[in-house]
Amino acid sequence: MIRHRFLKASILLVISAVAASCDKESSNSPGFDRGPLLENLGVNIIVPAYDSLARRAARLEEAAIEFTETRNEQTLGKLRDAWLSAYVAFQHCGYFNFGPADNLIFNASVNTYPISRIKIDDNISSGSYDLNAISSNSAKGFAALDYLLYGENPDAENVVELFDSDDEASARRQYLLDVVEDLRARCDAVYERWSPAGDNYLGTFVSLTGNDVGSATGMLLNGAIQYCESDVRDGKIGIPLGVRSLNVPIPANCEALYAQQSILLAVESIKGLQNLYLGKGKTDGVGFDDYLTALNARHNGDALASVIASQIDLALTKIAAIPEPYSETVEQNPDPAMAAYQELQKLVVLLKADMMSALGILITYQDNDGD
Amino acid sequence: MTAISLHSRLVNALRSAWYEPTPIAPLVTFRIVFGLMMAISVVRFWANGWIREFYIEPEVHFTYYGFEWVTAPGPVGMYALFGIMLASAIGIMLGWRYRLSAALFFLSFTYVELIDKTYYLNHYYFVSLVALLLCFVPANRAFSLDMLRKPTLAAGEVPAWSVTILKLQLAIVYIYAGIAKLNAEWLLDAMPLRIWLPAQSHLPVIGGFLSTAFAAYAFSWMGALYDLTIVFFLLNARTRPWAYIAVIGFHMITWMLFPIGMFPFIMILSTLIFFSPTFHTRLLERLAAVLRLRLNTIPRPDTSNTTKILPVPRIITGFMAVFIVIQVLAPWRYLLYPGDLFWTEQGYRFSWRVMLMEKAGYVVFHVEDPITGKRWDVMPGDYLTPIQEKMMSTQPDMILQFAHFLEEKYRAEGMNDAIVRAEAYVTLNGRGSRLFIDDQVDLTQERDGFRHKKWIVDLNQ
Repeated sequence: MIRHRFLKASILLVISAVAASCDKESSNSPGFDRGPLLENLGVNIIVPAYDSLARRAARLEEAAIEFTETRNEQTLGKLRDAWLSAYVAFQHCGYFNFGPADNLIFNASVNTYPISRIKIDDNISSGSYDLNAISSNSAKGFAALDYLLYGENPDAENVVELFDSDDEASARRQYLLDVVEDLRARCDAVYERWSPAGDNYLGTFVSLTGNDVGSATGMLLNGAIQYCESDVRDGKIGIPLGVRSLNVPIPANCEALYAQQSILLAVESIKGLQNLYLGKGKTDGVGFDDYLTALNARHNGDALASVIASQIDLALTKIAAIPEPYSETVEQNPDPAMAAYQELQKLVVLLKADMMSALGILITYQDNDGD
Repeated sequence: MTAISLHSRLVNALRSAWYEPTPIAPLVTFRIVFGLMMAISVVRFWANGWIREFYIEPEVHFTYYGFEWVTAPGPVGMYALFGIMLASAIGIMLGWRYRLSAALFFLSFTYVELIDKTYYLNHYYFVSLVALLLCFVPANRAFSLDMLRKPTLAAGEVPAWSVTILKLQLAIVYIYAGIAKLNAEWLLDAMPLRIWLPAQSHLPVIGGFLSTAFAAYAFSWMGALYDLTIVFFLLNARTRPWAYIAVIGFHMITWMLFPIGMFPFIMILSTLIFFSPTFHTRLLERLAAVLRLRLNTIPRPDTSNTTKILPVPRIITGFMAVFIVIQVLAPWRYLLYPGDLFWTEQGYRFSWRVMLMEKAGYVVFHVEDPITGKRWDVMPGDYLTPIQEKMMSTQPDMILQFAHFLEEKYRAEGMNDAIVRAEAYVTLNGRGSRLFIDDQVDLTQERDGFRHKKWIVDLNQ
């Protein structure tokens, strides 16, 4: 009987304690429905981003055909603009490195850099190459076009000559067309996979509302943060700066090395991250900031949602302050780049530790007893 | 009640719990379900590809202090170890070469656990402890293949210690898990459940409820109450059926909400040991009927012949006493260290601290060549798997181990005495991420050990 009384007393104690603590707490964490978040991310951000990339890649192909047919500085200029425009569009898509992009190995097959000049030159000379081979990733994509359209001597007259009257001009034109076609086809393919009119991965994505590794939030965030770490912080800024190579700068590893547009692309890529985080596409919808706000996640007294938003802004400002061409900056004036790198580092900590922790997203399938 | 009669009652209770004969049936059920669950666990681990992912693919492993000699034996060796584990688990279940099976299972399982602390789970520790106990208890004296081999083994009764020790083991797990929950963050802030439960808001029916603060508080308090009291309700025959329903309910809820693996099922089946011998005898008879076993597999307790009762060697009683005392003391060792236990994790493992904290971190290593003064960054992800990186980033001893791994790596490349500093940020139970390790300290100059790690930054600094 004593135990029964103890049990009843304990239950009463618990209920009253819980009720007491609830009075002031219950307003703090209303439920957050991940459905609308996924809907907005998919419909308003991911699919339009891939759509825009596919359209710009198609315009790039048209410009390339026009240039190979009518080779002059004007058509080259148009081609270069179309290339940069598509490259900028890609910067917004790199984060979606899961699902279709993962299956198609999309990122690596359109934006591997540094490219291999030897491989590209050989491919042009020999005329025999298979752009579908994984080994060809370093001989195609945006970075290969950077080399083809600018190269060592980016002077327009010189580049037109290479495509017009050089010994290998015809082979070079063919290679340009093949690389552009491969790029355009890949951008089409990944869009097709997502598009509701195509394979409708969008529908799958929106339906995976869980919080495990295979859920939409889990896949997206694990992929996006990984991309932010290795492709943005390291790839675009850190590696050329030498942070991974005994502090010896590697200017040749800059993105858009020959066109000298590394910083412009890096800024675009952070804008892509910003849109993803804020849920901003054509309209400003539900984003991770809203999710964190709904969970009332804090960071040392401040709202985590705004701490992350400010850090993205800060990283953006610092990157924009790096002088172009980046390949010269890393050797002659590394301080602004180092400052940007450090802000990116802080951003990665906030995303990978604080945000993932607050959202309760799992990073592996392993058993876990939470210790 | 006088002091003497209390004393003698206590002695009597201890004597009956340890030396008196008790029917073997509960022990036999325990042996069978444990062997079965372990066999299933090994197959599941294998089928998930975890042998390769956890023990073959990683370039480096985080060994336990004092067990640096434990290494992963390569692909063939790893699969052989798991093969032995599977065979011996089946051996335990069937009672075939039982002692050898139990010993092999204990050794292979524990060896694998010691390879890498990344994968430390309290339930793996529990399995190692139980497997060790099974090496000693005579669980094969009924309903076993050993009996067919050697009929003289058959016994309807065993000395009570062999059942008592398993109940004690379970009691330690639950009660210490309960005590661990008696802290301000769990009870007053409902952390980390306030982070984990809302993440389950997509679940049908209960999803909305889980997002409420009420749910987090209710689960926290109920969980603590459950852990602290369940053993006593299981011990009492009158409350036992209700308590067992609570056991099933509690563990099934944790199984639904968290990626907790086999643990809920292991606990649900292990706690059957608290049921009466009559219950177990009937259970086994039914099992025998289902399996169409005609042999007299469960000898009836022979009350007339008390000489058949196995004496308890002093060494066993002594060993079990030490075994229990160590386990009772180990969870308190954290008191010997300054600082916040959850933050420093000094004295955290092997203490039944389950589901207590949401901790995540990020660490970059800054390496400096002392001769040229050149500095660069190393991302641990280049050498570690995602799970290793995640676990390392919040555990100081692992960060230290990785710093030493880097020092050795650079030494092999001809750079003596590389300076390795860690820049680590950790968020604990919803606090914002903050500096975790003193980023000025050259970790290659620090040694692992049981002494306080001064280079952990104070949580509230």
